Amino acid sequence: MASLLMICRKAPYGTSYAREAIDIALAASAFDVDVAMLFTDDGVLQLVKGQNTDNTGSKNVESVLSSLPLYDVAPILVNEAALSERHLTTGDLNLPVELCQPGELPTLCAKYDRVLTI
Amino acid sequence: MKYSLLVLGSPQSTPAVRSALRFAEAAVASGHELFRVFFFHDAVTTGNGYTVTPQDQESLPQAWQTFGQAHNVDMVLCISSALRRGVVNTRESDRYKLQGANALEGFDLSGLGQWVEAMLVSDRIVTFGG
Repeated sequence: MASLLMICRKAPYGTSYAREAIDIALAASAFDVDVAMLFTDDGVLQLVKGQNTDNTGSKNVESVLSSLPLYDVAPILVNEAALSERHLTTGDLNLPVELCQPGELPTLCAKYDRVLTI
Repeated sequence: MKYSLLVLGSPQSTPAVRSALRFAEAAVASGHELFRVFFFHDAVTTGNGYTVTPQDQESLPQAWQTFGQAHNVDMVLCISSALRRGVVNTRESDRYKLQGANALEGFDLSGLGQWVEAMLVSDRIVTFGG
């Protein structure tokens, strides 16, 4: 089975990139691709729990992200440096994640057949 | 080598669509195969035939159309991105009872599965914009 590492770098709101990256991950999973996701840079903000978009008109990304395990998207990886730069810990996130260090990223990318960054 | 391109940025306000075209031209000129170009997000407006570009600037919709037809390139606009941005062919125009169709000939409207397939069968995937 082919594997894909989807790297998410964009903040959840302000642009639709976060949504579109999730759509690609779900589409690939539906085509039997082994999908993992790595959240880094502002992308870690997508995972923060308790997001409220009632007054913005944006679609809330929290619910779709929390359903990723149901679609067999795993592991959900998070760059620990990106979290700590934003004064966040795993306790602030809405689903269980695996932490990785910036230095591990090259090895991590090499493990997957395809790497796509949005 | 077999390449597929994912193009994300708007042709009007980012260099993504132009950079992708230059890359595609160079790849074909070097003897590589271009399996598919998938326009996603704001880049789908590259397929909008109602775009009018000032005369002293390169028209990216026309330039991509010309390149695609010359080299028989499979150019796909993500259908959900395109519908949200008002880029429709006659099939979608009829389906949603819109006033007309503006998708340029040479661009197909289709789903993300087309990009997933392109990722799987290509030796290299390259992203522009985002």
